[in-house]
Amino acid sequence: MTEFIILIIKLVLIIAVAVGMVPFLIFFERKFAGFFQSRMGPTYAGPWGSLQSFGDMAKLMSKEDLVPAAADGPVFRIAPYILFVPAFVSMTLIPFGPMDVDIFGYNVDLVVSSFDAGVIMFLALGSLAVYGPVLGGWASNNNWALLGALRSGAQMVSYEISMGLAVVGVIVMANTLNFVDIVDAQAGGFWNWFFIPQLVGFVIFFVASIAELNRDPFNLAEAEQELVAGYMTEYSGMRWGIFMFGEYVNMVVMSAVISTIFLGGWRAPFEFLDVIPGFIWLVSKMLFFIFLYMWIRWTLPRYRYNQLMDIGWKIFLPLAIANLAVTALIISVV
Amino acid sequence: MVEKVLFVVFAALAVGSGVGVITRSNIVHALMLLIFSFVNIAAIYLLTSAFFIAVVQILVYAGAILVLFTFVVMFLNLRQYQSMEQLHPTQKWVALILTPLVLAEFVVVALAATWTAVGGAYDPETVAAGGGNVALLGERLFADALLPFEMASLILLVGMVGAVVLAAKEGHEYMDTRAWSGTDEERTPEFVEQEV
Repeated sequence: MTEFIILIIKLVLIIAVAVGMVPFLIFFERKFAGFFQSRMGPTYAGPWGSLQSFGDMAKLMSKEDLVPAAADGPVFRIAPYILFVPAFVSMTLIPFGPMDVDIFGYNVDLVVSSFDAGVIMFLALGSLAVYGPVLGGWASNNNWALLGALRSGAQMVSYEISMGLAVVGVIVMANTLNFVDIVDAQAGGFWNWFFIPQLVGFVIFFVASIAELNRDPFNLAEAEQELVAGYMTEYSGMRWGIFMFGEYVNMVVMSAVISTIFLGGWRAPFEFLDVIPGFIWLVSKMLFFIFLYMWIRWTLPRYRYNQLMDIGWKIFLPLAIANLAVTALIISVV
Repeated sequence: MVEKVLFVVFAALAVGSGVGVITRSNIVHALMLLIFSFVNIAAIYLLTSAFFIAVVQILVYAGAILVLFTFVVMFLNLRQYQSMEQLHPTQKWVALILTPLVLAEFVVVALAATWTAVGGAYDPETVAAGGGNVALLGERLFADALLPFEMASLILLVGMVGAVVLAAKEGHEYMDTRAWSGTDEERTPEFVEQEV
């Protein structure tokens, strides 16, 4: 029974972290956007505009819930939520600290599920997230939305392949598919982290993750200048808000996964820094990646669609395969 | 006890959404129900501790194959063909004969067959002792069943090459995305005309 209660508490905490970070991320995004473009960003709501996200939320919730007459009602209503579920389930695979920690007299593993095939589970859930934009765009019954849906679907499917192949290098080195064991394989200081021997895989994974998140410079799916707003064209009010919310939750999860696979997860860069809890290390690594996502979004222009496909299929896929082959060769020889 | 209840719940959801798949006239609704059915089957695999199979079920069926289905449906815009009866009037009668035959075959095979596992029987204890789900399955696949495994990948490769050959018909330069990658001056005059 206590195990079950501990599990519930862990699940609530995980969801609270993923959801609770979003209002701050929206605020940071606006402030960073202002900073990178020599503007002020939000200033009115609260000190330095820090209550802006809550103002946004109140605005979105008080708007009318519009469903176009020609849209496919049920699918249109469900689609925004599809982005969430895979993100939350992925979050349960991430270890936030060591196993068997003594908290208030209970033995607790600081991970929800130490899953045998964790990395594949993450990739499988990522492939389910495609349905959010695709079904949303289709159900809108709008040409812009349908084009955006097709683009986002093709983009996510293409980049999933290089992403999966980029992780295989780490799997070969760590000899496991479990996120907990991958973190353990990176123990002992930052020189053991996988981003150094797997630099190619790390770069491919990071860029592919931007494409998976549909963010600039790969936000072809919503390309304002060509497609109005892509698959979100017909969405407004809180339904649109849920799409945006889902994207930010996905960003949190993606940054957690990259930190876990390539940057040692909850491990400190030096062993004497282990006094600081692993949770804080993981969150600071996640914030680093989230900052990178925002920096890239507000600095680089968007790629053209054929360039996006060229990068995915003609550069990243061969590179990832070559990286895997070289890694496997070195591992089997040494 | 808990597992039995969960099995009944997931099995009911899987079968229920499966029935939905063949009764919906809207093909995208049928697709969504099919995805839901596959996810429930993955949950049943999880209940039997077959973690790897469960994940592959989601990755391959729900994540890859059905995404392709969704694409095809969206490209063809099948909303106009919701009444498939008009397109295939005889199909109903063929199905009426074939489906009981297939069902009978399944029942006969399931009742008659004696199931044997490669390399002995497995239960959660032996799996844990053998290094977990993934390690054991990989060992069996690449040690005992290497030839069938490689044959399967060869068949898939043939299918892939065939698809490329069929898709890349000659004389369709404007379908080639590379035609767009140059500057405006590099575009052929006919191409610019076509676009206008």
